[in-house]
Amino acid sequence: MPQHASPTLRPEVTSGRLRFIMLGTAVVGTLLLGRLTVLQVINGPSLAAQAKDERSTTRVIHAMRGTITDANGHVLARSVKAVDVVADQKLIADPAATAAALAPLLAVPAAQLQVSLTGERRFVYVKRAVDANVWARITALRLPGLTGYSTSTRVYPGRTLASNLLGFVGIDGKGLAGVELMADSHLSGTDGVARYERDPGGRPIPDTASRTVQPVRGTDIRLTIDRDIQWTAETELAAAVKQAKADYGTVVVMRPDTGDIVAQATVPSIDSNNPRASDPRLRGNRAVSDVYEPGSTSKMMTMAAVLDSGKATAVSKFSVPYSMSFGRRVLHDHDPHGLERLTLNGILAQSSNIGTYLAARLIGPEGLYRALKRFGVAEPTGLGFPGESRGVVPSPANWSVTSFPTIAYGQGLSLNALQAASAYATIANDGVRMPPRLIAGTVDARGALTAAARKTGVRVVSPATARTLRQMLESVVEKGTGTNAAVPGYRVAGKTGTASRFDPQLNRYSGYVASFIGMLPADQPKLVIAVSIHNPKGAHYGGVIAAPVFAKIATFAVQEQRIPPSSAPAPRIPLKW
Amino acid sequence: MAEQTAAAVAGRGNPRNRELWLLVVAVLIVAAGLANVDLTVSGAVSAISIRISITIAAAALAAHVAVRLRAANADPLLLPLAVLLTGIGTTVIHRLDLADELRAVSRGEPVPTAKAGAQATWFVVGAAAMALTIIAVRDHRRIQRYPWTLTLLGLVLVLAPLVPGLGRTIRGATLWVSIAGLSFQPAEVAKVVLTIGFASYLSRHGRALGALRARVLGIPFPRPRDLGPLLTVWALSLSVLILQRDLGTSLLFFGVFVVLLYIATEQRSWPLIGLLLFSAGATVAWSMFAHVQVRVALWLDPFTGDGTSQVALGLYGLANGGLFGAGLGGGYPQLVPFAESDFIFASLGEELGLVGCIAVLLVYAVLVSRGLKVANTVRDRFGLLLAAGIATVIALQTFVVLGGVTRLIPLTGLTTPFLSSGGSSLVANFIMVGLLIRMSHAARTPAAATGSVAYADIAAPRHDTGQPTQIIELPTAEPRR
Repeated sequence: MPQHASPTLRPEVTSGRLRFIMLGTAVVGTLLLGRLTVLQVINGPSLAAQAKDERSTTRVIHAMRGTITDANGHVLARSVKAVDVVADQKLIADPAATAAALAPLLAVPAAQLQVSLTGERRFVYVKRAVDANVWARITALRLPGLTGYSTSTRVYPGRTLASNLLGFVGIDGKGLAGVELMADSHLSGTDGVARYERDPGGRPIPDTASRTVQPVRGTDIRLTIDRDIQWTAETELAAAVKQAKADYGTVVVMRPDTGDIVAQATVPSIDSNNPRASDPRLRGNRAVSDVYEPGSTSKMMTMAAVLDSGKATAVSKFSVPYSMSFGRRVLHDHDPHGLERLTLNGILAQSSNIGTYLAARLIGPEGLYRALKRFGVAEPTGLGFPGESRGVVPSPANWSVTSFPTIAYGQGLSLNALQAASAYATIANDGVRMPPRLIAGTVDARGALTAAARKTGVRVVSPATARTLRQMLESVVEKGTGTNAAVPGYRVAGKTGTASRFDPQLNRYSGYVASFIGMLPADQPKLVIAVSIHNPKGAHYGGVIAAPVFAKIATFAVQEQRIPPSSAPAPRIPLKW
Repeated sequence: MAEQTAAAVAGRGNPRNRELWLLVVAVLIVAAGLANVDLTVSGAVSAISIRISITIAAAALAAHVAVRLRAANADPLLLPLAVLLTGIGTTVIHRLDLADELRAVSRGEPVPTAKAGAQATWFVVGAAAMALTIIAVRDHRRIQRYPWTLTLLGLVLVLAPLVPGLGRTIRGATLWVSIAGLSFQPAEVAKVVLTIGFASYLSRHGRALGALRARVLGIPFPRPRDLGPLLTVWALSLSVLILQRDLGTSLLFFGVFVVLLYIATEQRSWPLIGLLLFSAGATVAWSMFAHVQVRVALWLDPFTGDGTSQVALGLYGLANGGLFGAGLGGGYPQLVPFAESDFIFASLGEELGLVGCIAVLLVYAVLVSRGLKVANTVRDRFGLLLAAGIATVIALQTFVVLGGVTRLIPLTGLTTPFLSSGGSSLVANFIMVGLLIRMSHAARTPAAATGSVAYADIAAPRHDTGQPTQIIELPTAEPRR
């Protein structure tokens, strides 16, 4: 073996100094060891828990919102997966270049993006609810500092279809108006919670998601709305409102036996996909939120009360002058005439104000007031729609000398379009008023419908009164002011209204509300349709501008709903004596 | 002969064979660690891990061959311990690479450059530097000839980053020099040069400084004029602290000088004076510099503010490790800023636990004790001081960093010897190991075996104060070449 095979161990020269250094090293090493033991074993668990707390955070996983469909299951509103794009400004070295790359994908001006990408903030929303495909294209660019958080966005395939009814949701996905707000507790579901750990920058550490509570999807809602009738109603109403240069218009289509709202149009409408782009005044549902003085359509309720009191029949005879004086005021019919000999039926058909007052005198102010309340005027509709206004009818104690005649023919009281439709539905339903209904029920994951509870109806007038009144209302369409509402093959009962419009801004009457409320088939009504057009310029008679809208919607609806034509001809009740 | 051969085969007799076996064990530990990381994180061993293992094995083997050829009698523990530490460091760096990659991918960001491969490459350079040291320095006594030159060179290196256009300031400390795109920390090289310089100077002048004059509180104190060198080094250390804001380097140089002064003079008053001077300097630095105050404040309460200071995050990591650790690939060491350099020990502690920390501490302790053993056995005064200085550098630097990470002392910016990511540090440390191996060989080679080689100071004390020399004998005249 070579010479290094056995390095002889020489007696080592011990050095106290080196031993001292070795001792120092040992002391220092022991200190470190002790410190590590304290850190890792003795205080370890609590410090580790503190650390986990420090880096643990929870994030809400928004539950997918339920779908809203029409009565036949056609989707009116649904949620789709989307991505919130979030920037960590500190990680974006070149905000200008990043903004330029993102601008075409996000459809946001680059200058605006650059602002949200520049700075020191570690969590900034660049754009919320971006389409998942767009996000996929963003990730393909591999830009640093951008994170996507999954969320959902609300889509209304029909855009403006039923938008005033459906409402819309906020940026957080919560319902802010309409059915979205009304049924929010069903639709929103239960949010889940993701507990994850994040790095000191606040961003999630991959693979640390733990104890995630999965969100529960919202319940689907089925409405009573028929999408096709809704679309027709909106289209016809929009055309009429445009032609009349009116402020706005509403249509309510109801099923009298159930109170189900088949269609409910408001014009102008908004695009629920982008509610913030619309005029805030248009975002509500004016068929329930706006009240108006009904005018002549209200005479139906006066007549019903008179008939139901038994103090007059359809052929009771009245001598009707053109005008009457009340204190210092003179009230009159809309067209000048001499003293006319009209039956009760004739008064309604010709929409005589003075004649209606003469008939109302038979039941007195209290009788009229009670009848109006029973028809639901100034009462909650029971629909529960957000933003409902119930209208006003003063109690007789507060009536002035002209109140009795004007309220009898429909001025000096106010109601909303749904209440007006509901009053006519009462007559269509043989005197029983069914509370209006918009939500048919909830639909579970397998598509099974759980019907919403039905409310019981309220008897307002006797079946006989209702039948007589329907025949009288048929005379309006046959021979009176409402001939434009006729639907070939079907008996139509209805009433025109041309009311003075109270302008709350001017605090006086200005312009008109033209309306027509009708039902068909008159012998056994299946549908009630109420049309009102507010502040038309030019022609303003309900029989001229509202009745044709009724006819067009009704013509479509009877076919769509397969309602058979009337077989028996309308009975002829004399108008005069 | 037969007995010797059997012993050699068993790896006992021949220190080189023992070294080879220990290297095999070290490389196997590292390869297993790398595989463990890969399997935990991605379920399959990666090509980079295999490449790193092979690189480390090959470089270690080459270094071993160099030692076998040129320093056959050297302590067989020194090289394997250094290789083991480097390999463990590379494993943790690789683990952090994977975490960074996962994070970047999950965020859709560009994947950062992996550092483990570079670290393995730096190990090759370090091993080469070590081999070169062993080959070039045939006799360690020759390098003690230039105490002033080396000390001056060391100072130039330390202060080089301050040269405009050369230095790079990273995180508030001007420690880096950048030449042609390559940056390195000259302080790490200066560490080696200054230790040699200090040892050279003190081997000549040390005894002179040992003369005592006054006794204060019963402790003999040196003559005031003998305080000169210490005060000079103290002033230089303070200037490093002030000019470069580098607490760690300044503390390291001063500490090494004080320890060597103590060994050279045998006077216990030196460490005491050193401690006093250090305390004074530290107090002044604390009162004058905001960055020092920040360090001290974070030391006293690392959880102030949002609880996300580097120290706090490191402590969280260590705590998360517990007794046995989260396992390689099982923790979140990437949460600590600069986990691969300053805080690599916290990363290690999180994934390997107290058990792993103790193991690594023991490796350091054995390395330092083997260094001190070299100091104890080498037969010349310079060798004694150099070996003790190198052991002190490793011990002190390890303590300063680990103490900072574990909040035993305020955090300073030093690399963890052998473990931290970074080339300059690794190369410097391997040069020091090379010097230890060279001296160890000299110490363990019988005088007779080397023929006429003298175990005497080549530069015999010229300013000897007349005190009896302790260990030096002069069997033959000093060879002049």
